[in-house]
Amino acid sequence: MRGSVLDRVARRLRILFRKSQVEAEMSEEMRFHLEMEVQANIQKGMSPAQAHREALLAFGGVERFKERARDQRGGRAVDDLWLDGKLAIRKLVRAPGFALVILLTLGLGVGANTAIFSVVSSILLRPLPYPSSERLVRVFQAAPDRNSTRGSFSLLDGRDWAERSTTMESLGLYSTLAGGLVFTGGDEARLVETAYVTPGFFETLGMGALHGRFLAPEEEYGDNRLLVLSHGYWLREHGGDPEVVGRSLDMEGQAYRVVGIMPPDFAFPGPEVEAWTFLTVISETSIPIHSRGVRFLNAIGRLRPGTSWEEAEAELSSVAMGLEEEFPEANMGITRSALVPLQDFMVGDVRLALLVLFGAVGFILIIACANVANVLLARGIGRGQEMALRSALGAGRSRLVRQLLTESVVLGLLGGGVGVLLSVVGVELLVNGSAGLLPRAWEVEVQGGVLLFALVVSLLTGLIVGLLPALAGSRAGLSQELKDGSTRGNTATGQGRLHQGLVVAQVTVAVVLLVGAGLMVRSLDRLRGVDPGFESEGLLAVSMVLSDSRYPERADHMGIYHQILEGYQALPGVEGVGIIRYLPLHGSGESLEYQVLGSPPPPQGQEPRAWMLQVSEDLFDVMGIPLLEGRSFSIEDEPEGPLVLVINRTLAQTAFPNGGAVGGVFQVGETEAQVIGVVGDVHQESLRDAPRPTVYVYQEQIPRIGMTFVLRTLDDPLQFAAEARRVVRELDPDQPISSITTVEAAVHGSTAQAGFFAVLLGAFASLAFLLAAIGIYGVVAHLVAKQLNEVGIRMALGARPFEATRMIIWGGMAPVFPGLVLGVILAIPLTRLMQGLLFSITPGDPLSYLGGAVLLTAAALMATLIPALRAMRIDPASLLRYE
Amino acid sequence: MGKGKPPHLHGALDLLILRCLSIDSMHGWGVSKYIQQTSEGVLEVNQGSLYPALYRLEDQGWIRAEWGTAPTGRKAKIYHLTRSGAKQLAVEESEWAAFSTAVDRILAPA
Repeated sequence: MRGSVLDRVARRLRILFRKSQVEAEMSEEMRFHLEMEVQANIQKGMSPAQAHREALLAFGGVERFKERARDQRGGRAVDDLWLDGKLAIRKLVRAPGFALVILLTLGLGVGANTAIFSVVSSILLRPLPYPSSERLVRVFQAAPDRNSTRGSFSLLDGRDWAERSTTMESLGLYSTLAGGLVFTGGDEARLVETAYVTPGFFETLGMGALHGRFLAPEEEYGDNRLLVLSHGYWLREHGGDPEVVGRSLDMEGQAYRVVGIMPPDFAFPGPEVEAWTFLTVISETSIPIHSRGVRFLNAIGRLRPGTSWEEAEAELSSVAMGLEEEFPEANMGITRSALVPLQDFMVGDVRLALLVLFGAVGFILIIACANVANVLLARGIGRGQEMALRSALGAGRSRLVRQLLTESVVLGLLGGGVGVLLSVVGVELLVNGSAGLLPRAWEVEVQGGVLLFALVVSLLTGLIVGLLPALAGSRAGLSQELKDGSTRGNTATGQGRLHQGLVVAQVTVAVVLLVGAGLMVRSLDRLRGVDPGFESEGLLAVSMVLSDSRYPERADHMGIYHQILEGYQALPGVEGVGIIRYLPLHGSGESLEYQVLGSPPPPQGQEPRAWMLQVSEDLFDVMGIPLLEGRSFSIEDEPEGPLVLVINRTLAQTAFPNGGAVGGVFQVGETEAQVIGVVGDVHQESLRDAPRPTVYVYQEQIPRIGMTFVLRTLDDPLQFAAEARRVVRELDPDQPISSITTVEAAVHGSTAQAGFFAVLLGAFASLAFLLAAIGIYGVVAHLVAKQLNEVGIRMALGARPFEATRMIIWGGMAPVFPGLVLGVILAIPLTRLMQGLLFSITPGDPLSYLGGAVLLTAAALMATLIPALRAMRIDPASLLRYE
Repeated sequence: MGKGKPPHLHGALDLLILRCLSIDSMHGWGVSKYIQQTSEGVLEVNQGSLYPALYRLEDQGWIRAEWGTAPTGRKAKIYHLTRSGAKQLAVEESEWAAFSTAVDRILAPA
């Protein structure tokens, strides 16, 4: 039976921690033995000196024997690791330049990976912060015959779905379209970003309030002016005072009572939301919320445990069909539901881009590792003597490999440490730089799982980086090294091949990255080149939402609009002012069903739809939207007079394929409207998507309380921002402006996300490019140094310097060409994965491939040229002298 | 290197050490002298093999080491047989008996 496990562990620990004591004991034991042996020899009759000598001889090599003894003692592996580790660190301290380069290279590689992994894990992998968030879904109404798959809800429909569904535990509705509440209780009117919700909203998300409570169903009508504040808003405006709960805040002249504060994680529908209140506080005049056909609400739902979303989708579809039967005019065609898991919905857009970036940093790490491996390989030659000595002292090959690996793992771990520090900074920069472009960006942090990832990556990096050099270094002609003591006796071809191989790998990976980045940049370029349909320069956009309590009637809206319009037109430097409901590229809009009078009615449920936008009479002019046919609105089109419309070219072609759009009549619901003009297409949704059929109505005839003033200015539009605010403030000090921006910025902002990813990928590709170039330079310089003798001899024998240079360049570029070819071959399938990110560029775009290959070849050439030119200037005599 | 030795010599050394310590606890030098003397000079254990073996046996838990005083008054590391060591000794003795019987059988005149 073996001794108890505890004893063994205790012994091993003692060996580890009481190292010096254990060693001293062993020496003591040897000394004792020696003395006894000497005594015995003296008794046999030898002289003391002779006795001593004989004893030592019998003893054998002490150190060697100590090694074997230590071997048997157990705990050797750990002991060795510790020793090697300390040795490795001491070596690094003694060669700070070397250490710096390696640690920086590894640090960049590990750091970039850790940073992107933080982002990927926080945004894509980590579940949403709500309880059982896997059961949360975004719910849509769908009318398949109309090609509508992500339809919004009306309040009544939403309530019925919630009540009648058996598969959904709860359903909540929300909207931010009604604008925000204005806080008027302070010195200045301030817009509070508000989300209007049903009680089911909080119930569905399931996160409790930090202080107080959230909105309760019974309070939805009656005394329903209640607020739940966001954590951020509470800290900013109320200093985090819990006593705020129960207090009333003055919003637009009315008292809203604060009933609760949400925790910091709660940021739905987004981090910009500062307060939640009941949907039912919206007055019917601004939005008729109790009309079943008025659909502007978003819906989230919580599935019952154990229900799949396919089951729920089917069940809700039957609820939809039931409602269609009960309310045919409002719900015709809405026969299905569409469910999307909430997390997917929130992050689905960026998933591909983030994964591409993750792949990119993985490639950077490969290049960095190849660089470091090359350096270690090169250095390995200089350590041949050390290895030979150790071998003579009794270290086996595996022991040597272990030592070298330990050194490289130490490098890996230290590099990893540097990397983690870099990644913390990197993540900060990423999150701040992405400013609202990344969903869930506020949740990104470097924590537990990410640090574990960094640790594993560092360890693996260290092992991979060290494996080749360790195997090569421990095999290096050991006896040969000791004999002639020179450092250049190695098989140059063997080592050289390893170096070349690593360079091929680097070039391959760098090419793939360059091609990928090239594609993204070209795609972005194409996207930004799309003509939006209007002139984006020299325009200032001022958006505001009128408070329906202060401007309840249409006459009131129009009154204040006219006053503001006149105020703006009077400003010096302003050439023209127009009003539009939503700026293009804003993303949202209203839509309506229409029918062309005189054409056969479409089947029920398949009525064509178009976007609808309110504009003033000057808007097309101010924004440079070309008038193609007919005329624009004019003040002669009376508010109560016959309804007139201007349509865009796409709608004209759809509705009047044979021409004659002007004069054509549309039927919208009960009303007839005449088309008076056709304008050019405008990209209302995004530059990516084709323009949709759009109807422009005269704002005098169909006003809305939220509009955007567009000012054409002579100079830089932003200079007019302060004046724009002043005009409004003078007319109504309590009317806040929701945003002031230049139209140019808005257009640019619509490609911001694509731009962000392109910049990142470009940066990574540049880093990879740089690392690869440095790597090639390092290898060539090293090989040149080794082959200096050969070069010197050749030159002494009469070869022209040019010959030598050509040889070096050829040798240096040799691995680059296979690398390019491999890289292109690898890039083809890999870039196909990026397809979803590209706009009007195919993954096989030859220019990107060509560009990448040319860039890399140029860099490699330069990297090779520098050492080659230096070699040329060498005096052969001085070279040979050192032999 | 100790690991390269043919296994049965290895085993014999362990057996001899355990046997020695079962008679009396002693230090390393004492063990080597005992083996030398008792075998009448035939078996001589060299220190390069003795101490590794002692450490190995200690790691297995079959012998225990203690710092004590030698008869000469000097401080020395004394090894004792443990209970599990005694059991191991019995096992090794019977294994050795079986081994030598088998060899005898093969070497016996046909």
